[in-house]
Amino acid sequence: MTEFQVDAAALRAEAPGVAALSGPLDAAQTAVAGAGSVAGVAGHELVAEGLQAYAAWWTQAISGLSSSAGVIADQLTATADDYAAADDRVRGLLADTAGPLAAQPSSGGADYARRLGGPL
Amino acid sequence: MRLDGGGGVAAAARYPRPVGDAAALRGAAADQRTAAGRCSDAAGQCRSSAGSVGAVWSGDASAQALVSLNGFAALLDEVVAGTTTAAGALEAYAAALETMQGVADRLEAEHTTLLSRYRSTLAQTYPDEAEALDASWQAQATYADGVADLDQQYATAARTFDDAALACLRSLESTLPSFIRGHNESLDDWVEGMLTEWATRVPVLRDHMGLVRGAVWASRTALPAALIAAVTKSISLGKFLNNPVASPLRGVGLLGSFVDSQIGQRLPQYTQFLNGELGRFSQLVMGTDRTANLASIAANEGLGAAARTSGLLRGAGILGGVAATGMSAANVIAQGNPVDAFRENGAAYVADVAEVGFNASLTAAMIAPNPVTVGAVVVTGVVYAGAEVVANWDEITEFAGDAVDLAGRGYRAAAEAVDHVADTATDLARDAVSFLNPFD
Repeated sequence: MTEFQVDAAALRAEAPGVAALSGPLDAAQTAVAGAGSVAGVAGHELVAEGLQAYAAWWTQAISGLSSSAGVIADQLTATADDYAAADDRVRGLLADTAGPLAAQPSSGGADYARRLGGPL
Repeated sequence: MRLDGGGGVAAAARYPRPVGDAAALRGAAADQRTAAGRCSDAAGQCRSSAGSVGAVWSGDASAQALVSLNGFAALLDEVVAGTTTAAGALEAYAAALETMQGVADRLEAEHTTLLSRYRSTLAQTYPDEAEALDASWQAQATYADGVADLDQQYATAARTFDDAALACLRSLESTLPSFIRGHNESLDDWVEGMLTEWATRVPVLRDHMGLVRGAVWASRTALPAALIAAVTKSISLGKFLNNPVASPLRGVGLLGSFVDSQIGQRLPQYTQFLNGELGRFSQLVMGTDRTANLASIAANEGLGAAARTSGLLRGAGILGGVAATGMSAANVIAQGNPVDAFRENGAAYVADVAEVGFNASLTAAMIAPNPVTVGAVVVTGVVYAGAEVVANWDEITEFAGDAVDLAGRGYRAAAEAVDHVADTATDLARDAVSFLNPFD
């Protein structure tokens, strides 16, 4: 049996902080793109070429990271929602069919699952 | 008497200043530092979130989530390192740009002064022609000496500036992943970089990077020539073995028939070798696509016919030579303008150029062996070998331990394996067709 513990509400509360990482990353992306825009006044073709390659790569890379922050935050939220939904389902199930079990104190859906003998 | 006041001197700037904006570059550098700071804060925030998530969520899925969050923070660290490096490079280059612009301005002003004195001298009135002529000579000499000094100063400053630009370029490129080919980066270095990068991702190899780098170096410097020859020999030998009726030795009478019969008796041995160790080895090191490309190069150049008509093993040698020349030429061409390439890659570029000459002369010698072409092979071979040693001296000394010893043993083993099969047939074929060439 897979052991796990989760506080769905606390997990959900972490998601906005991760999503907010996109803000500084977007600013960083703008700054990196600006390096490419000064290629025209670099004064040497080698530096101009280097700046264009640098800006092209890092603009793309930071853009991907910025998007990833949102994806990770969404995953955390979805995970918290899934756990909460499962907890509600198990709680309802126990309330309907296992009165003595349901009457016992619970620490959440994971606790119910463990008491039922298997993972959610 | 009054002389002409130097009307023939060009009015354009003799010492042009590079058109660049150091302030804008410094601004871009500051932006990169700002970006680095923001990403550093983001990485810290991400690790903090990972800690919080780990506190409220445990289990296998949580472990995966924490790996993702910490991996994300590690990627942000990469951004911090890259943008910080770029900022430093831009700041250093901006200073060099300003210096160069200052030098150009100063030299231009000094040249204007020199020119003014020269014209002033010429504009004076002299009592007679002899004195005027003498004054003219002296003025010209003074001007020429002064300009020579200024030219020297400008050339020195320009070289320093070019070096600064190159250093900036290299720093910017160092922030990019290895699969992005650098400016004028040779194909060899590019491939080596990717191989090394790949090796660091394999846990077993990552623990033995000295050995990996030594092997990569050996494969870049010594093994390709042997492998190209081995593979192309194998291709031709394989074609012949698959179709003995088309043997080029059929037309040379009894000797040809004898060689055919000798090869035929060893056919199972050759086939086993070609389909076994050599095939796997060449495909492992060179890749199936590259092996196939070597053959197509020769075919496209129309030298397949030469291979078929000029003797089995000599043809195989020509194929190998053409392929090696093509690869060498591609390697040189990839480095762009020769002047810039030499400046950037130094001895390595000399070695690459010499390699082209060596392979080309070797090919010529195989097509038409005579004292001239064979002599060319000797000369270009010596230059190539010397340049290759100079170009790789740092690596040679750096990896002079077990790694090189292992790589060397591998090279010798490969060479002996090739010799064992191919050269036996080479000797037989050479004997059979030697009467066709007076210099053979």
